[in-house]
Amino acid sequence: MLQYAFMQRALLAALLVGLTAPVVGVYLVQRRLALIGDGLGHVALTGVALGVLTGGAPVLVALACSIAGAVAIEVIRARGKASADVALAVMFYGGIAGGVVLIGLSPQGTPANLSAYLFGAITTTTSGDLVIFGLLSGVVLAVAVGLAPRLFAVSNDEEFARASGMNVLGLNVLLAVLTAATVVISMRIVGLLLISALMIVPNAVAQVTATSFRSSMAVAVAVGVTASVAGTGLSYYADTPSGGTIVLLAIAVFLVASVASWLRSRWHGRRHHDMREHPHEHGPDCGHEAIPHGDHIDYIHDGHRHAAHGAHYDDH
Amino acid sequence: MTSVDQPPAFSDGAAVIELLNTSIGYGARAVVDDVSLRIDRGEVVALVGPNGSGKTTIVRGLLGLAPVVGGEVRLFGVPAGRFHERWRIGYVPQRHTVVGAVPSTVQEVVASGRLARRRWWKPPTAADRAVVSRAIDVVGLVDQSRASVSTLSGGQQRRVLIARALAADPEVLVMDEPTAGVDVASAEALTRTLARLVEDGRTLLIVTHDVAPLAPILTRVVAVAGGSVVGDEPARIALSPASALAGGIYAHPGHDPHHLAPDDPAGPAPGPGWLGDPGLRGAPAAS
Repeated sequence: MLQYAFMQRALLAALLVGLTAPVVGVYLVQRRLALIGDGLGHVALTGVALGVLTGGAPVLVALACSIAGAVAIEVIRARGKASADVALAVMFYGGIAGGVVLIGLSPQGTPANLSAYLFGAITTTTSGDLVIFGLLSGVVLAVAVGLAPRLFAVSNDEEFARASGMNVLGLNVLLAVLTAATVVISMRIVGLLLISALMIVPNAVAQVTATSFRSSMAVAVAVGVTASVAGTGLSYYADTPSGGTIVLLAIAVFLVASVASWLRSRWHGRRHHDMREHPHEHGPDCGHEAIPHGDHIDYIHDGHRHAAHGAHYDDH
Repeated sequence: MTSVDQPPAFSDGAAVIELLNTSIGYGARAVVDDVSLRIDRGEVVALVGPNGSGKTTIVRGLLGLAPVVGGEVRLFGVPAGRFHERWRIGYVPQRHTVVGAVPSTVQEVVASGRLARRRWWKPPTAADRAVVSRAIDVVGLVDQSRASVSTLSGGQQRRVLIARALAADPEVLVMDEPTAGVDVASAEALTRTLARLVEDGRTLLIVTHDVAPLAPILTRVVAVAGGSVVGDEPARIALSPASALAGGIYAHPGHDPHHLAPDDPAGPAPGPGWLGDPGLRGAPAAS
């Protein structure tokens, strides 16, 4: 498949998507805004359709539309009105409805064309697109990794960030613009309806496997790159839409990781008491029988011998 | 009641937080109405009152998290709107757990408290890292610094939030209900941690409905009810059963009225027994 120029472009685009989408997605998951990427994909569809209709560059018009949408979302959210939720929903519906109608109006607006924009296709990435995707990915990665501590802080606890004097609105708008750029990088290969899946699902894998933010990001990127490159290849052989194939692969990884993590905690659970289930901190005065055991002390608790180990107790 | 122009005798007279006829609220509704309060450097102030009395709103107003709709807030003598060194006031929110859906370690969360002191693109310096390590050390979580915060107990997560505030090396620490929902041993362990901060010369403003565990370190008790300050006394007077304010405090007990009486023999008192609880054992920093 590598002898075809379109496949080379598709695989390169897939690599860029696999790298950037999870890195931006980790902050969206942290902020519990996993669905914002979906909304931006909807808004970007109007941009793509405008580009198709006017014969201009769909990618650039989509970029302008989704950045405008992203800034609008953050401004609406920052105003904190009770109606913000509905306002966002209206904006997202408008985006997808406008896109469908505009593509229908354009001479090249075939159902196949629309479906390629919505669900991804491997044959559609042009060399011009690839240049834009490369530049965008470079900027998105530099900002998302370079400003990681700050984006982490504001996604982790917005109120604390505000109280300590950080520019919360600025950082939120920045994150929204990064999301918008990622939507555009993903639009050819993954498709506008499935974009946020590649931002979120790799991070869902990280959620069940990683212990730190840094390792979460690494796991998510590994899953993202693997799913998007392998999915693009698979879609060539199986003749399936690339976006759907990539996302199904990522979900398969998530299911395997979840089952593995569940089995591990079950196995571990018998010998391992999390502090959350066991808030009592053993000590000399706690009333549980203490037994010196090598370099530590075990406490007899409900017939188990508990030994403090970091944040939990092991049974000895 | 201590008025703005009459600083209490036990401080050095440098105001760090001043509310001047301040009203704080949302929209047209002021939750806190026309409150004046001055807190000086080195004070350890408990802000007490029943639920809904406005004590949390006062704190949110002075931190810039709730709109000040009337009067003025001054921080270190500067009107709050023009005060750009917010990191000088550390904030420990009222929360049982550390938020965030992505796994993160104690070290990562505490380090996020340092950012206010750092430039946007600059990597952390050795000094930044040292302050973060010290903050983790002070709250006794050195052994857990690489653990995911979601695996910690509620009391430990509370300490993570305190360490995060300390990472900016603030001069004032504002804490919202640090002992709520924490068992007696953990509350006393927390008080020991706070005692070290007071020794370092920090000013503490602690919103609480339970003054007993904090009694050893408090210098002053301010009572709030119905959005107004209704009492303000030095701690030694406020915490004595004869105090007029004590009636005010004890008329609105928290979950554990038994715990509110500082002279209760079952309650904590400074001394070897108080220092010998097992809550922080295994935490070298706190011993």
